[in-house]
Formats: sequence, C-alpha cells, structure tokens
Amino acid sequence: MAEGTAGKPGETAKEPSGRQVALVKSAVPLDTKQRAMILERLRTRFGVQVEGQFEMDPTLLGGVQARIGDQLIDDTVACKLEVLRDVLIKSGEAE
Amino acid sequence: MPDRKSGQILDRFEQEIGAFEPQARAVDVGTVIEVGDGVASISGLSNVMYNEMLKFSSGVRGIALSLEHDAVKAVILGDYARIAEGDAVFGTGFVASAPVGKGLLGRVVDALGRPLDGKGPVRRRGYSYVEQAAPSITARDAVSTPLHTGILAIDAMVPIGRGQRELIIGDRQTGKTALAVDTILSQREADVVCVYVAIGQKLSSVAQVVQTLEEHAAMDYTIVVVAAASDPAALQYIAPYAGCAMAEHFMEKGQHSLVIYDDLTKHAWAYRQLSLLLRRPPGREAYPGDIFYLHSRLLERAGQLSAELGGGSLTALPIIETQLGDISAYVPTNVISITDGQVYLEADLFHSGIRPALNVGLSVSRVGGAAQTKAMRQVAGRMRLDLAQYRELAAFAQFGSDLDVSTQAMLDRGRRTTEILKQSPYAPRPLEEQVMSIYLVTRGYLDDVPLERIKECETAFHRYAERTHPGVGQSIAREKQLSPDAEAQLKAAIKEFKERVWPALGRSEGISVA
Repeated sequence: MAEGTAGKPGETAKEPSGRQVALVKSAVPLDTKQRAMILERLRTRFGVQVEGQFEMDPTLLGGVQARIGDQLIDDTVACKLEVLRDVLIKSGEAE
Repeated sequence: MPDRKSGQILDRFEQEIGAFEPQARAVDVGTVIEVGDGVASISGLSNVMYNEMLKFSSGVRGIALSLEHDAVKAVILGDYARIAEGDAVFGTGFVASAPVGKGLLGRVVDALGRPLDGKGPVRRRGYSYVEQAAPSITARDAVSTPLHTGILAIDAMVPIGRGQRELIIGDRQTGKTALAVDTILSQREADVVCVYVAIGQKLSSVAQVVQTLEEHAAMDYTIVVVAAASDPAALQYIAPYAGCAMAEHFMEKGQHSLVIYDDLTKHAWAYRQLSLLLRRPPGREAYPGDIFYLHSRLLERAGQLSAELGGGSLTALPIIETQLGDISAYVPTNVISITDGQVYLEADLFHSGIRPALNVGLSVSRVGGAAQTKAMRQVAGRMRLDLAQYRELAAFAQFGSDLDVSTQAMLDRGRRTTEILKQSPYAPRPLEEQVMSIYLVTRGYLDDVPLERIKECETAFHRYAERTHPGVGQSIAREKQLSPDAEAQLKAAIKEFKERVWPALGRSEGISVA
C-alpha cells in the first residue's frame, strides 16, 4: 500500500498522521451535521482523528453502525433485534 | 390447555422483552482473507481469545485455533461453502462451550449441544467450557468402587472401577461398540449417567446404537453426542471434549458418570486433517506433534473425586480401532499408555465364536482389581491366569494327542470356562448370576457336562436357583460377597440340581431329539 492512502476498513494500520478510516453504515442517509457528530464521538472514543466513509444499508432498519479497524460499534435496530432473539432463545432453553 | 400455555409463553416473552435493555454493542471484528476445506484465515480480530467461538457474517460458527502475528486461523463448524473472502467475522467473547444439565438426558445432540433428534430445544442448566483442566492431585481419590459392566469376561478378569479409563481396542467388526453399549445398559440400576460420543461414524451405525438404547430404556440416563463422518472435521475434533464436559457436570455434582468415546482413531484423523490444513508441521504418520496431548488431556479429565468435592466420578471408555490387529501403531500405543488398562478384542476369536472376543493375555486392568467386588474376587481370583495358561496349552496340544491326565483336565476346564464366558450382545448380566456361573465352572461342577450343553446347563441352573433358592442371589447382590452361609446354600442348590433336575432335562431332550 502506498504511504498516505486511506486504508480499507478492517485494516488495522494507522496512517502516518494517526488518522483512521471509519466505515459508517446507517439505514437512512445522514446529513452533514449528523455525520460530523458521529465522527466527533468516534474521535473521543478512540483518541485518533477519524475519517468517515459513509454508506447506506436499509437492512439495518435504523440506527448507526461504525467500524474502525478491528472494532465494530453496533447501535442499529437490526443488531438489537438479534440480541433480543438470542435472549429469548436462551431463556427458553434454561432449565 | 393450549390457551393457558400460550398465555404463559406470552407472559414470559413480555417479561423478557420488558427487562431487555438495548445497548450499543462493541465487538471485535475481522475479515476473511482465505477460506477452504474447513479452515479460514482472518485478518483483524486482534483481541480474540484462543478457542473463542467466532461468528461469520453468514451465520456459520468457527473456533479460533491459531493466533498468529498477522492472522487468526479458525476451524469452521459448519458449511464452509457459505463463507466468502471478505466476509466479516465477529468475536463472541465466549470460549467454545457446551450446554450441560439433566435436560440433556435422553437427547441426541451435536458437538455444540444442538439437538439432532427432533425433540425440541435442549433444556440446559448452563454452559460449560469444552476444554477444561483435569482435576488436580488433591481433588482425586483412589479408584475403589466397581463399575459393573454386565459382561462376565470383563467383570471377572479385567474389572473396571468408577473413575478408571479403560481402553477398548480391536479391529473393525470385533464387537467394540457392542461392549460399550452393554456397559451402558448395565448402568440402569446403578445410577450412573452415561454419555456416548460417536466420532466420525456412519449415521446409520449411530442410529442403530440409539435404537438399541431406546429399546432397552437406556436413553433415560444417557446423552448421545454425535459428530458423524459427514460433519466437518472441526465438529469431530471438539465432540469428545463436549461429551466430557457434559459428563463432568454430573461428576462435579457428586454423581457418577460414564463416557464412551467411539472412537478416538477417527478423532485423531479429524485432528490430523485440521492440523495439516492449519499448516502445522506433520510428524510421524503425518500426525501433528501434539497428538499425544490431544488424547491425554481428554482422558485425564476422568477420575474419582475426593469426598470433600462430593465424591463423584467420571469413568472413560475410549475405543480405538486397529488395522489388522496392529496395536503397536502410533495412536493405539499412545492411548494404551494413557489409559489404566485395555480390553483387547481379537478378530480371530470373534470369528471362532468366542464372543465377546476378549484376548485374556493382552487385556489388563491396572487399577480395577482394587475395585472388584469381594464376591467376584472370591470366585474368579485365578481365572485370568488359568485361562491364559489354557490358551497357551491349547496351542501346544494341537500338535500331540497323548496328553497326561492333569494336562487333559486343564484343557477340559479351560474349554468349559471359555464356554461360560460367551455372552450374546445387549444382554448384560447381574452380579449374582455372574458369581454363580463362575462358581459352577471353577469349582468343577460342569466338568461332567458335555461342552455343547454348558450354556444350557448354566441357564437351567440359574432358573432353578432363582425358583428354589432365591436367598443366594439376594445375599450376593446385597452383601457383594459370597458369605459362608450363602456358599453352603449355593452348594446345596447345585447338588440338588445336578442330582434331580439336570438328568431329567437331559432325558427329555434326548427323547425330543429322537
């Protein structure tokens, strides 16, 4: 990879400048203000400058999902439903 | 009533959903860079644990088995054709676990505890790590309680104790599985929970075992774990550990359990396949360097816990299939050295009608002697040596016909003993019957019975003794020893039987034949 180019999401290497690329997915398009807010939150959480790459994915149903390197922060409706499903199955199996 | 039940379910759903607090989830994620033949290379997942369960974006699960500098290698527990390069992989934060608890009894499950018998979800008490450390030295007690297998030849000559590891070894089609199933059937009254782990077997064979267990009402206290020949190697690899975890749960609660690994040869094959795919260096017979540890760490988990820890036990009966009777191959020698003895079944004996085809000379039990019931020790003390001597003598006697009287007597006794030890499969026998049978033959009461009528005489005697002298059997079953009183009664019963009943039986038979 040439130095300085933005890495693909999933690659852990930071750029020399300490910036990282975040792949942000949402169910509906985000406006500029929302985008800035998300990037700001990610910056405080990871302590690095974050460059956003935004995508739309209606299967998420709602909410936002962000992937930086090896970390995925999932706050989408689809994810919560999946967790809820696991909880219900588990409670049904318990003795 | 269906309405009330569905109401309950709805209530429970409402409760669970009410208590559910949605939170943003932060998980480890990686990307598949290479996939094939049951193994995937993943980049990312920098915080993954060894043996952690992974979830691929297509829903297939895997286990992280090699954590390398720039990649994680995982074995895939499902259809690897559904995984593509570039797929996301998520860490679950859980090390590979299996469900445990009473709810599994009577069920047929796969290596991850998922039901295969169509009887609905498996009820579980909790989850237990598939890989666990074996009990320490201080946690253990000496093996001292017998595990009754119901197979006369084994209970008399290679006794197995609770907490012991006894290998069942032999060629294909020598009755290894039948021996294991018989042992399960004998545990009905003994309160021993059984786990039968089928590794790399044909599903038809497994179905047959399950059917046999069901027919004898043995599924009530048995769990069957299946990783069939068609299942991914990764599932075959973890199946015995999962079965062991299920049995361990009962041991830790102070109960007794028995686990059968059928068979560890195929387990070694599955692990060899995975190791080669993971590009670990091959050694002898292309097995990886840790093939010994693979089985030793599994079998070390068996044992008798000390009284402070509840006194539970886990007995392990691993099965090894040999090729053409070669017990000195790599995996057989490994497992022989790990276990506390072996039951060696021989194809030649099997085909000459001696079933179970136990080779007396090569079968040993290194700790079971201490766990043999007193009654059995009283009557079968010298049986193993005598029989081994007989086999040797019989081989020599083939060459000459003029034998001295004592040799002839020894050969006669040996033939009769061999005859008494024959037993059909799926017919385990209670202790009292075994003791009486051995008493009959070792004390010479069958010496005048023709060889081909030994079994008939034995059965007739048991019927007679049960009818006229029920006290003898009851006394042996209760006291686990042959008291002088019971022995006197037994002698009297034999005398009556041989004087009155047996000659009559012989005559009526003679007439019916004529």
